[in-house]
Amino acid sequence: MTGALMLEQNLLHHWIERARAGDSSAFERLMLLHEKMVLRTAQRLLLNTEDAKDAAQEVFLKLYKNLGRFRDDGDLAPWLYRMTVNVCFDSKRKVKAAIPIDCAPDSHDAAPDPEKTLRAAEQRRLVFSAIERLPERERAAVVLRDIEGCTTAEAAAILGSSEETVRSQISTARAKIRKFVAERLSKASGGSK
Amino acid sequence: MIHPREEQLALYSTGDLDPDALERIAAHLDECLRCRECADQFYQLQQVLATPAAEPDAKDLQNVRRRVMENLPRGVERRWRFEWAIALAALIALVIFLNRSLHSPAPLPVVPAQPVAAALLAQLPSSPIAIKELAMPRRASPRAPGLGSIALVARPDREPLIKIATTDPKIVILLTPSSPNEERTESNE
Ligand SMILES: [Zn+2]
Repeated sequence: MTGALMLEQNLLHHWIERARAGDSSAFERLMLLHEKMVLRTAQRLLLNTEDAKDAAQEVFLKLYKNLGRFRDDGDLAPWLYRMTVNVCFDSKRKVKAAIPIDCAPDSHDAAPDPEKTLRAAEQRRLVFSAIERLPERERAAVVLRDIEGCTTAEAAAILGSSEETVRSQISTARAKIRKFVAERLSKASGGSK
Repeated sequence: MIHPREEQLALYSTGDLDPDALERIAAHLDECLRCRECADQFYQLQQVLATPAAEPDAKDLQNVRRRVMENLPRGVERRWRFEWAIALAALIALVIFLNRSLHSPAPLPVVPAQPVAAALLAQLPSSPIAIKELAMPRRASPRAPGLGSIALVARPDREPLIKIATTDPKIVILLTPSSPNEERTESNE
């Protein structure tokens, strides 16, 4: 374990303990550490920032009520992912309308070649509109495995299913996304010729 | 030529297959242009997905944080503070009670309306049993860290009683000042 990671783990442990004892500022620290992860995942799952904010709020309130359950600090992030997926897929919070959320890459990574940038941006837009069309469980598997970078085993643990199921979901989902993007890109390039 | 299924090529792009399948597909891709193009598209897809998207808006994050902090259930914290305050008050009352019963054994001749309970408490003998009885409810119920209230129950034709309520509604201690050996713990169950 690196020094920085050690420090982070120790701090995490410290804040969980303090928050558990009723220190709300320690709880706020825990939120600051994990809020991006929770809101980002909720946005990917719900495709709508306002609903994602509501879901993130619910996730953190549930975290506060369940602080007592964390024996190991390493349990926190998987628990938050699991709770985010559960809250987002709660029957009451069905995707209302696919209001496009910002799926542009970090502006720092912009390539210098404008044509290349434009093509990459179009490809990215198509990938994310394909993700929006996926059924819930497939979308969750892709968001966790391919966007959030969890391993297949981690994604399976978060989703409460087997690795085999997750593998099947991501392979089906990737195939659908590839097909969707390839069809539209070939149509676009055919039209421009 | 048997081509691998598209789903297998999708898993191949992240190595999510057993070693035999990975080797078989690698060998096939060396020979098959069509599958190689498909596999390349899955690689590109992985690159797009792995490129970090813009993080959530700072204003949105702040908004969520504020809403959560405003809605934190503070009841738990407050209730415990309240119960500990009661326990502390009960402890102080116990110390005063002990002090009085040790240092003022003589009954007070005339007592005004308000300090009747205190005077009756003062009349109690300094029996260690009475003190044990007072401490008992705390052990009986781990959720009850102290005493609730002390009240004098005056009845016209019978002797007055000192009623000590604990934070556990099931446990009430009744003391009769004139007969010190008859303290009893009443259960409301
Ligand atoms: Zn082939």
